[in-house]
Amino acid sequence: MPWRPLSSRTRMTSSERLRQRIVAAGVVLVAAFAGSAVYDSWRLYQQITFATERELGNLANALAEQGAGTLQAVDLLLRDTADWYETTGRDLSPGAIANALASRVVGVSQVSVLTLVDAQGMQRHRSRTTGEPLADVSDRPYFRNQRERSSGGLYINEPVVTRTERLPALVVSRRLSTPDGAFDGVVTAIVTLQQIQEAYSAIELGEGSALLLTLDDGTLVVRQPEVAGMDAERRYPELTAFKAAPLIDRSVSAVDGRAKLVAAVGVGKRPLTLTITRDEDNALRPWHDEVRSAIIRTLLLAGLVVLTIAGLLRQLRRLEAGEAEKAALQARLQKAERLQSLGTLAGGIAHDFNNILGAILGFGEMAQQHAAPGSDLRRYVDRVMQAGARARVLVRRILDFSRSGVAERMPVHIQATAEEAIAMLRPTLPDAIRFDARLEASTAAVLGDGTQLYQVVMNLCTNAAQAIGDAGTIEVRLDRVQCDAPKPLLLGELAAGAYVRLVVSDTGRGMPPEVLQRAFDPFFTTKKVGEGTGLGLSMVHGIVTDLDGAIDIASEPERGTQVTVWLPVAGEIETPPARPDPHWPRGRGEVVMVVDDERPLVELAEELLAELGYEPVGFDSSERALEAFMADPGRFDAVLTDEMLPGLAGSDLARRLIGIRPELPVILVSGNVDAALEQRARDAGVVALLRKPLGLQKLAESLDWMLGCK
Amino acid sequence: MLKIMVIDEDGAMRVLISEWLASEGHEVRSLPRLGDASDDTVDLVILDLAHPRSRSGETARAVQAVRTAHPRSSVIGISTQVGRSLGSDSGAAQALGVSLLLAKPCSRDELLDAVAAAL
Repeated sequence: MPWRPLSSRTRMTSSERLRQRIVAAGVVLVAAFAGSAVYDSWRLYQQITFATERELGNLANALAEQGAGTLQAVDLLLRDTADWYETTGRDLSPGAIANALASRVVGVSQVSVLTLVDAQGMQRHRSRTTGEPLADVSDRPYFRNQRERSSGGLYINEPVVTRTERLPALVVSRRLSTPDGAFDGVVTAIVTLQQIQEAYSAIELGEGSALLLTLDDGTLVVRQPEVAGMDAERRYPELTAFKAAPLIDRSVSAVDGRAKLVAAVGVGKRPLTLTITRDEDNALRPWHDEVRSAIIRTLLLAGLVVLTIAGLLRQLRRLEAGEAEKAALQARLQKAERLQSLGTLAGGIAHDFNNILGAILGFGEMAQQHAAPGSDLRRYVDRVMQAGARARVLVRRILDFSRSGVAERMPVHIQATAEEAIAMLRPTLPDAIRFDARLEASTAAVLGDGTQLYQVVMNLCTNAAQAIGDAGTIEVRLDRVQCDAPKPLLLGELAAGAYVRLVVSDTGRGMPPEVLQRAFDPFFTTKKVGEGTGLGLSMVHGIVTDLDGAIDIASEPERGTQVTVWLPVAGEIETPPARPDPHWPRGRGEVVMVVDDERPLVELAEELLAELGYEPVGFDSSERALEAFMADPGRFDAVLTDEMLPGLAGSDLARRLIGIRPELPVILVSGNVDAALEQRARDAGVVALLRKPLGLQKLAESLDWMLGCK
Repeated sequence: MLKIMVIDEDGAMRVLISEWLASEGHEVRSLPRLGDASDDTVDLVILDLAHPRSRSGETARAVQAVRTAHPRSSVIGISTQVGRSLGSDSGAAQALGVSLLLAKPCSRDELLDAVAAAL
């Protein structure tokens, strides 16, 4: 059926495609989740960065603006004071000057003290008394600077601890000139750092942020928040560089090594820089949180997708497995049905043939009787009858296969039947074929036809022997099994129930699968023309199936074949006695030694001898038999031994035994009696040489005759 | 001498069986199939059973029809579908309602033994 593999292949590819699609959909879904998460994160990053930059920039601009305003006010104060002093103030009394200074400072809250310094650097007047004596500031940079006129006008000194207040402060100064333009000292305004600090402390900068006010040479004026133990001498010239565009820069801080966003703005036109920095980590914390949760969300979703897909695939596989199982069952049932219809056909053929054969054999029989014995005619008719008999056997086999035949149904002792078949077959096999039988069905009964069941065992064993060829092993197992659930077989299936199981396995050449598939087909044979009819297994199948049993074959090329037959158990049955004819001579309890290397054959012989009234003692090796004999030579009245024994052959054993007790009667048995063996038997002093299989009557007569002669 | 009726669709077999029985001195009538006429003088009917395992029961009905038509007679079944002849104690023969079930082909002696056994 060429369409079957084709259709199953297309089904496989279509389901394969479906599987690929499911996996692809899953991958796309996961990729979409990941992509959207990445995009969202990127957007958020942009937004946060933008917002942070704007916030820092605005703040820096506003604060710088405010600082510029303050400085403007201070400058105005200084300029105004300088003008006043140069024109009128110089000539006033010290008290009046101090008062004038004090009244000027009132309007500019940022200025702590307004001081006038003379040309020698000596402080002359203060806007208020600070508790410190007037000091010499000629060494201060602002003084020297103003004296040298190196700066245009306003000079902002780097933060120092003033001698006026003993507080760290910025000293903002302007030059005083005499009317002819000569240096006449400076006017200074002290803006304490504390005051600046206070102005900024009100601003909530947020964690990880800092505000720095620096001079253009990098000298730190104020830092907010303050950092305890920070190096006061530290300079930040790099901040001044950030004053240039763009508004926001990124830099790795030299102080703590963290990446920072930096907004640096010049304070008006003054040599001051206001810088706000924020740790990038801090600025991006919401983004980090969001990214973390996006990753978790994406992983969870991806996990869900993977689980869903795994579930889908498993469901698909289960569905497929179920379908494949159903298809396989269907195929097996179809094959079984096909065999059945072939059987029906064969039954019809058997009917027609038997009618024809009936006439041929019937009229042939009459012709045979009418032909004169010895005449040519009689010879011809004899041939016709022989051929007819062969045809009859063949048709009977077809009938057995067809399952349309009527056969007797009675309880059969299957163990005895198998033993009988094996005992018949064993002697015909070459010595190199090891025959290993273990029959353990005890008293199980099978409802059927004893002859047919015998044929089943015989056929399977013969097939095994033929598959082996020259050397190998045949194993026969017979046991009882309970089948709890229907079991699929090569054809159909085995229903649950109690069975006797017959397993025949060989180490022969085995069968390739395509041969195995056709093994039960009638007239299908791999043997040469004339060697087999191709009906053996078909017949076994027909018989077994007809008895509601089942058959299965497993085979592997070059490894061997195993045929298993299940037959329903129909209760128990007494072991059938080997029924000796009452007219045959019987023993009177004489002890007979039985030697055979096949245990079942020893048991069979023991049973036969016991039936005949002897007392058998069995041995499965000649060495053990010899040992037992040596131990008590007078115990045995006769010996029955097989010739083909491993180690000491039967004839050699006989020679040794007769050497010990010359009058001992020994019967030698062999499946292969030839002139050489006869000679050996005679030489050994054996009284009888019997051919296998053992005929009960012949055995009875031989024993009686031997023991009678004694 | 018995009055025996042979019913077999196969002409050659009919002739053969009739000849065997006639040679033993019996009065034989052979028919391809059972006629309508009832006759209670027949001692034995040898009836061919083409489909002894037919599930529809046609074989058992055919045997019953013979018994009705020939109430005094014994019935021997003969069938191509039987591997070995079955005696009156066999379940198959009893199920079909025949005294014996004879395998076809059979020898002359087998047939004559069966006739003797059936009576």
